Amino acid sequence: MRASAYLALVALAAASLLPAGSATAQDSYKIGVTAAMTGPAAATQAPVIEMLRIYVDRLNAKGGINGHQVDLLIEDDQAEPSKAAANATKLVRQEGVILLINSSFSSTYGPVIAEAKRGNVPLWFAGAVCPKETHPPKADPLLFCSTGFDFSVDIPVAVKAIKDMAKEPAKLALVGIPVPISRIGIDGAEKLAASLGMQAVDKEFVPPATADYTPFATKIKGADANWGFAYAPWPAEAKTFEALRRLGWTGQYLAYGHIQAEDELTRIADGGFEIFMANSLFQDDLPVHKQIRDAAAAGKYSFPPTYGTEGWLSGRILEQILTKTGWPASAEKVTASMSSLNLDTQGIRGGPLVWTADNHFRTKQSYRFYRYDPDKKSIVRMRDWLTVDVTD
Amino acid sequence: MSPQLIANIVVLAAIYALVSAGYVLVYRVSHVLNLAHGELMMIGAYILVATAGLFSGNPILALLLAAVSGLVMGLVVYAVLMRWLTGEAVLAAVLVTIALGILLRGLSILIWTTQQFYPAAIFGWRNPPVHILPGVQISVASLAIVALTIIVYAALFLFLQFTAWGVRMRAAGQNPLLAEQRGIRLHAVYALAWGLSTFTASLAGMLLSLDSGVESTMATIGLKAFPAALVGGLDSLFGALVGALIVAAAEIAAIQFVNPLLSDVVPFLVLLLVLAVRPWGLFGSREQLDRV
Amino acid sequence: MTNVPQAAPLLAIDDLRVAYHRVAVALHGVTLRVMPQTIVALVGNNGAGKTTALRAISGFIGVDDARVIGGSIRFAGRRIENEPPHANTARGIVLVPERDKVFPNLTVAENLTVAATRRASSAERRRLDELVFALFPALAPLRARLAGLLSGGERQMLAFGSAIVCKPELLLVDELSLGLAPVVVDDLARRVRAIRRELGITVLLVEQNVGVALAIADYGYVIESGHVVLEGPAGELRGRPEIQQFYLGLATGNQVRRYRALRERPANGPGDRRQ
Ligand SMILES: Nc1ncnc2c1ncn2[C@@H]1O[C@H](COP(=O)(O)OP(=O)(O)OP(=O)(O)O)[C@@H](O)[C@H]1O
Ligand SMILES: [Mg+2]
Repeated sequence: MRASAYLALVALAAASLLPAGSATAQDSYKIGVTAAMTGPAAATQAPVIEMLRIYVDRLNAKGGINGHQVDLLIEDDQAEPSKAAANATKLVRQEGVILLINSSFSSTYGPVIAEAKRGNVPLWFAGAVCPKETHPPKADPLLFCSTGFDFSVDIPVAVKAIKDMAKEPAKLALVGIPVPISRIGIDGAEKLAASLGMQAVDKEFVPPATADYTPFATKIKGADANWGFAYAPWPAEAKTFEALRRLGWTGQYLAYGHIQAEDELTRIADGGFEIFMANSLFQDDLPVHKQIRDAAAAGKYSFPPTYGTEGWLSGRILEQILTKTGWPASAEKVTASMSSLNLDTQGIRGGPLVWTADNHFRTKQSYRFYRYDPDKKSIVRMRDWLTVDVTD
Repeated sequence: MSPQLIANIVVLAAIYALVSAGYVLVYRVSHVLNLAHGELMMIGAYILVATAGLFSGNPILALLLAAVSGLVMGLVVYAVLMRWLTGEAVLAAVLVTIALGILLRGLSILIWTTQQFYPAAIFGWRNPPVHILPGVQISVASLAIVALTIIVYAALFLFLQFTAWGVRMRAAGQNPLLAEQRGIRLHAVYALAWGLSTFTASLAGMLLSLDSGVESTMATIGLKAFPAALVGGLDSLFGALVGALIVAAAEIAAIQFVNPLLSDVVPFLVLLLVLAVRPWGLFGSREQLDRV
Repeated sequence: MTNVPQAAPLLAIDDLRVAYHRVAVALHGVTLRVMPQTIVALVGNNGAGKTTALRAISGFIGVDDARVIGGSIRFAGRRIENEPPHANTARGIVLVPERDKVFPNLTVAENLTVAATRRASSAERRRLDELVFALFPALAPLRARLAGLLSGGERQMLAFGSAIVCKPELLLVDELSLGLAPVVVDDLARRVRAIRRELGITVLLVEQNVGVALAIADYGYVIESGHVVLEGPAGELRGRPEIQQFYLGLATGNQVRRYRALRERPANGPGDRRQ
C-alpha cells in the first residue's frame, strides 16, 4: 500500500475514535455539552460529564421530563479553545440547543461565551472553574456556575484554616500549576498568609506532565517549610506531597479535595495530608451516596463511583431546570428557569443550591475538611460544614 | 550544589535517557523519527496496569508479562504499520508515527479513561524513601529507574558492539542496500529495532507508573525526553546519555535557582542552544544529518 | 561447490528488461549465460547498463525504485527476478558493488561479522574469516581499523572479503579496477582467478577497463545502451579489431564512438572483418 493511503487510513481510524454527537430527536430537550473528554483537563472533567450522561440516561429511561426525552449532545474539546469554539458553534447554530454546558479549561470559555451570547443561549459551567461573571451581585444574565470549587472563596478559607491548625508558627510552602487560575489563587494565598502573620517560605508552580516531582519537593524541603498548601489539579497536589514524603519531609499539607480525593487519600494513607472541599465524601454515607454508587454500577461508569458526586449534582440541577421550563422549551424559558433555581443538594453540599436573577453562583459556600487516619485505617472528617459568605 | 540536587539530576536524567534510547534505536537504524514514542511508553505503563490487575498476587509475573508485551508491541507496530513504509520518503513514515500517536492516545482513553492508575498500589507496594547518603533520599522506584537505565544502556552497548545482530543493526543504519546484499533481512533488523525501542520505552513507562502512576497525559513525558535524544545527536546512544544528563541538570538548576516555571521550556532552550552550535547534535554524525 | 551439470548454465538471463522509476528503461533485452566455475566479463561504456544488469541479478530494494519489467533471470534453474537482495545472497549470489562497498563506520572485522551467512556454524564463520585473511593478507593487520579509513585498494579487498564470507556460488563484481593503481589491479585480478580456481566460485565481472576484463575472463559480453552487441570467448574478443579500436585504445583518429554505430556502417573504418 502507498504511504499516503496508509496515512489516510490511520487518520480515519484515529478520527473515528473521537466521540461523535448522538442522533437528534425531534421533540426532545436538546442540551449541548462541550467538555474536555480527552486531553490535559480530562482527568477532572470527563468523570463529571460521564456521570451527568448516566443521570440523563436514567431520566430518559423513566420517560424523560414533562414527557419529553433529554438529548445530551456531548462534544470533546480536548481543552483546546479552537475546538471548544467549533463545538459551541455547531451546538448552537446547527443543533439549536436550548442550553450549553461547558466543562473544560478556562481558556476555552472566551469563544464559548461569545457563541452563547450570539445565540442568546444560557451557558452553564459544570464541574469547571466558575468565571467571575456568574458571581453575585451582578451575574451575567446568561452565565451560570455550579462547580464546587472557586479560588476566590476557597483560598481565604484554606489559609485561615492552616493558621488555626498550625501548632507552631507556620512556615508555608505554596504549590500550584502554571495556569492563570492556580497562579492567581496561590499569589493571593501568599498575600493573605503574610497578613495573617504566616511566612510563605516557598512557592512552586509545577507544570503538568512532570516526569519527576522530586526537584520541586527538594526546594520546598530546602526552604524548611512545615506546612504545605496546594491549589491545583489533583495530580499536582498529590504528587508533590508524595515526593515530599519520599524526601523525608514531616510537615502537614492541605489541598483542595477534587473528585479523585476520596480514592487517593486512602491510597496515600498519610495522616498529614488534609483536604477541604465543598462536596461531601462517600465516607459520610448519605442516601445520595448510595444512589450514586448504584447508578455508577448500573451505568457502567468508567471511574470509581466516588468520582461521580459533582456529575450527579449537575444531573439533579439539570432535572430541576428542565422540569420548571416545561414544554415546549426554548432558550429563553430555560434561562428564566435557571434564574430561579432552589435545589436541595441532599447533603452533597452544605446547603441548598440557589440561583436568582443577580446570583448565578451562590451566596454562601460550605466546606468540609477530611484526612486519612492511619490508626482507624479510614478517612475521618476533621471539621463539619464551615460556611462562609461569598463576598467579592 | 547539594548532594540531593545531584541525586535529583541523576534520577531525572535516567528517566530521560531510558525514554531517549528508543528514539535513538529506531532513528539510527531506519532514520525514522518515531513521534509516537511517548504514546507507546504510556501504553507500556497501561499494560502493566492490566497485568497487575490480572496477577496482583504475583508482581514478578505481571512485570515480566508487561515487559514482554512492550517488546511485542514494537514488533506489531512494525509489522502492521511501518513495514509498508520502507522505501517511502522518511517524512511519510514520520507522519504515520504522528497518526499512530493520535490513535494510541484515543485508544488508551477508550480503554483506560482519563483516570490515574497506580500499579504499585495494586501490588500493595509502598514506595518508601531510601537513604543513599546522609541527607540524600530517593524513592525505591527512582532507584530502580536509575539501576534499570544503567543496565539497559550497558546491555544495548554490548549488544550493538559485540553481537552479530547488533553489528547488523548498525550496518543497516549506515547502508541498507549493502546490508541487504550481505544477506541481512532489513525487515528483521527494523522490526528488532522497533521491538527494542518499545521494550525500553515500556520499561520506562512501567517504572514511572510504579513511581507516580499513569494517566492519559503521560505521553507528554516522551516529548520532554525528545530534546535529550536530539541534544546528544539522534544516532548516538552515548549522546542520548550525555544529552539526558545535560537536559536534566539544566531543568533542575532552573527549578532550583531561577524559576520553576522554566522547567517546561528549559529542555527546549538547551536543545536550541546546542543545535545552533552543532546542528547534528553533540555526538551525532554530520553525515546522518544530510540524509534527513 | 556447485552440483549443476557442466552443460547447464549457472546463470541464464533472457531478454532482460529493467526500468527505473517505472519509466526510464535502462536495459532493453539483455541475454547472457554464465557457465559454472567460469569468469565472465561484461564490458561497455559509461551508462551502458552494466551496473543495472548486476543489480537486477542481485536484487533491488525499495529505495532503488527499479524493477525487472520483462524477460527472466534463472539461477541454477530457478527464476529470481525481483527477489530481494538478502534472498539472493542466501541463494549464493553475492555482489561486490561499484560504490559504497563497505560499511565505513564499522571496523574491518565487523565488516566481515556483519554478513548473514547462510547455513553457517560459528566454526565455519571463523574458518571463512580466516580464509579472507589468507586470501588478502594485507587486511589482517587492519582488523580493528574503521573501514572508512581504508585506502581504495584495501577497501576493494575488504569488499571481496565480506562477499566471500557470504559463501557465494556466483560472485558479481562491479568494477574491479575503478580508481586503483595498475599494480593493485593486477594483484586483484590474480586473486579473482584464485578465488575461482581454489573455491570453485563462478564470477560475473563488470569492467570499463576492457583490457583487464578480457585478461581474466573466459568469456565476454559487450553491452551498449542496454543491448548486448557482441559476445564471445575472451581470447577471441581480445583479437577483434573493433574491440581493440574502441575499448583498448589501440586505434586513433576515428570519430565513431560506439561499437553499434560502427556495426551499422560496415564499410567504415579500417580492419572491419565483420560478416
Ligand atoms: N537510479 C537510477 N534512476 C534512473 N536512471 C538510472 C538509475 N541508475 C542508473 N540509471 C540509468 O540507467 C542507465 C544505465 O546505468 P548503469 O549504472 O547501469 O550504467 P553502467 O554501465 O554501470 O555505467 P558506469 O560504467 O558508468 O558505471 C544510465 O542511463 C543511467 O543514467
Ligand atoms: Mg556501473
